[in-house]
Amino acid sequence: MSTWGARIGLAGIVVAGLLFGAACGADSAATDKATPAAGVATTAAGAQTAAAATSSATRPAQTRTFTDDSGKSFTVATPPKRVVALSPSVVEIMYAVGAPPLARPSSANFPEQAKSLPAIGSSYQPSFEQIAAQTPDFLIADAQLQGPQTVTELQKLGVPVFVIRVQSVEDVTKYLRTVGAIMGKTEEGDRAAKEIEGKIQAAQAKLPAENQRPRVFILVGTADAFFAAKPNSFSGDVIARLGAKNAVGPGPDSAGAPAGFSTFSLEKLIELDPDVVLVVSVAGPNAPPTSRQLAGNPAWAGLRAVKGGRVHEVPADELVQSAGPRVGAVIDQFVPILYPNR
Amino acid sequence: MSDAPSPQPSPARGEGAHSADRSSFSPLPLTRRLDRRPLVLLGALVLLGATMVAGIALGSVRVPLADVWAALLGEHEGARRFIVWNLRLPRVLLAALVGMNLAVAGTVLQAVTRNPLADPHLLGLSAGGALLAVLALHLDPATAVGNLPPLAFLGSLLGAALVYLLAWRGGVSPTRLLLAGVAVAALFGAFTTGLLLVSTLTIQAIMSWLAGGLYARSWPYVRILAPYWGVGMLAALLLARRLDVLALGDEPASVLGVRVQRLRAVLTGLAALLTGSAVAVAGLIGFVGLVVPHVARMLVGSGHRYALPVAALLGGALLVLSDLIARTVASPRELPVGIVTAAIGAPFFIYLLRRRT
Repeated sequence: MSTWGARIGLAGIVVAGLLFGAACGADSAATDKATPAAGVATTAAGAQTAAAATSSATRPAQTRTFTDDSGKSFTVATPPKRVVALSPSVVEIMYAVGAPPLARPSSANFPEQAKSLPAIGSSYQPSFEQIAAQTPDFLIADAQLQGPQTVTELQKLGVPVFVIRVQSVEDVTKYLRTVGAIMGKTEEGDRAAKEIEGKIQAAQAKLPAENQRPRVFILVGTADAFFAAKPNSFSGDVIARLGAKNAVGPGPDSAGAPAGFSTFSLEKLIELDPDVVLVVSVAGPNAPPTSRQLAGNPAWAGLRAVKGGRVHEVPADELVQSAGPRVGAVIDQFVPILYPNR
Repeated sequence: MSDAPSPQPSPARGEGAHSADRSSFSPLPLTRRLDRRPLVLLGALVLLGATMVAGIALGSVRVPLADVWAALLGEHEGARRFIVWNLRLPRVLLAALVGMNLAVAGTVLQAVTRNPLADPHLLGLSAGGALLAVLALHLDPATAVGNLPPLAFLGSLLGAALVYLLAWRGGVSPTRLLLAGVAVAALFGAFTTGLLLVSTLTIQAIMSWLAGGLYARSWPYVRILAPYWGVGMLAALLLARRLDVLALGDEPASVLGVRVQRLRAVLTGLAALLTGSAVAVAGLIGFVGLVVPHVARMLVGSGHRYALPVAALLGGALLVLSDLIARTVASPRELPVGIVTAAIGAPFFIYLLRRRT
């Protein structure tokens, strides 16, 4: 009786094993089937290119090539129509060029209209089911939020995955133009980029003498644990473009910190004693701002910037979570903070 | 009662007591009690099947049942087929395999140590596996996923070996084994957490190592884990009778001709294979290896020819269900699956403890 039962158990597991084997086999068949499908897509594009080539006399070639952050080339014949944006930065860039995406990550909350788009989960772990359900024809990912492995998984959806990275003001203008061009909004992208470039130029034209420029420390985090934004972070690049000196050098990224940031202590901050401290509170709107939490600390109170009233809370969304076209407004806010006597 | 010291019992009285005892144990002495263990096994199989069907039918996006069926038969093209065939099916299968591995590893370890608290976590097997996998990823972030299971198996073996070494004193007593396991698990766990925190991984990726996760796990992972699962399950079932003998105690087992220390090492190696491969694809998932073996033994007794397959099937069902909850409860966001197994497993374990006493 009992050996009979054990045989059932063994048989059950063997059957299950066969099922798995069959499933795997069937899957590879499915992949084989998918490949020709992708092939069809490329041939269609190829046919279009061929058509464009034959009729080049009558109309200019539509096919253009773009290179993304990973160095991959993309040939785009006609602007994609169903685009899913995978980071708040991508959402803002797409709205700025007048080509809103089809869906957004849950954390994307600007502009206001974006909130009514379907959400696909967090940027770090987007829901593949939600993305697939949108039947996209193009994905725009963000290298700072989606690692190479996630990008590889996204590519299995069978549509192009264009990866951007916004870590400087130049990245913003570059991707405004690139995304604009991909979406068939070349002029809008160029206009939005020029507006930002104009603000930078205007600020640089009025820069005071070298010794009048402040040494700035950008504090990102909470009172208990914070990072210094280095020149190669987005906020670090903004103040550099505005002529300010970063109190922190480039140096290597410290372990556990995101790219462009290094872990910092209050002790080291006192040693630097910068002219201006810009505080990016990342704890959320319901927590007290980091600068207020630090206000009770006597060591903090002794800082030159605190005594001189040159500590400013600056927006976390625009500078850290969602670096993008709103940098124009950030520049407007930063200029009087950095150069109050002008 | 019948052993009560009565120096000279009258034959009549003794006879009466004896027959009373018999009748109180089996009121119908001629009817054999129905062996319900095959039924339990069948029930566990049905349960696993049901959770897998639910796991494929439900998710972040609503797909009508007819479309799910069509997608499984390969008739449907497009987004729904992609969701069912490339996202849900592999993930459900992987959850089932991982759950089976952990539950069988736990059952084996509890028999080896003769300690109901033993599980892959407490004995340093999970911690060793995770440490080596995370170390490999730290040194080379581009380490192929397929290379992680052998590395994690090696790590689990190292963890087990270290535990044995620390517990060895001319033989290994179950208690010392468990204590050494706790120490090694804590040490390896500290290294793993430290490595993850200084790594460039996102907090989500770190969490899926520390609390388990099946996010974005597709067919390649199923193919990677399946051979380890197959070999491990087969070996465990073949060794089921030996486990029963070992459960009698070291001396009785030796008397019965079993080389106890060698068998214990082989079984621990088997548990390392099952645990390491599971950790490599799904991170540290707790409670499956601890709770499921208890449930299995409650249902079918401690005979391992039944306890092992029942534990495997229930372990698979528990993890498929937990993963379904993890990916739907906060949809479109996801929870690490280990949080769900702990949230289901811990209260259930407490209930079991309270019911027994």
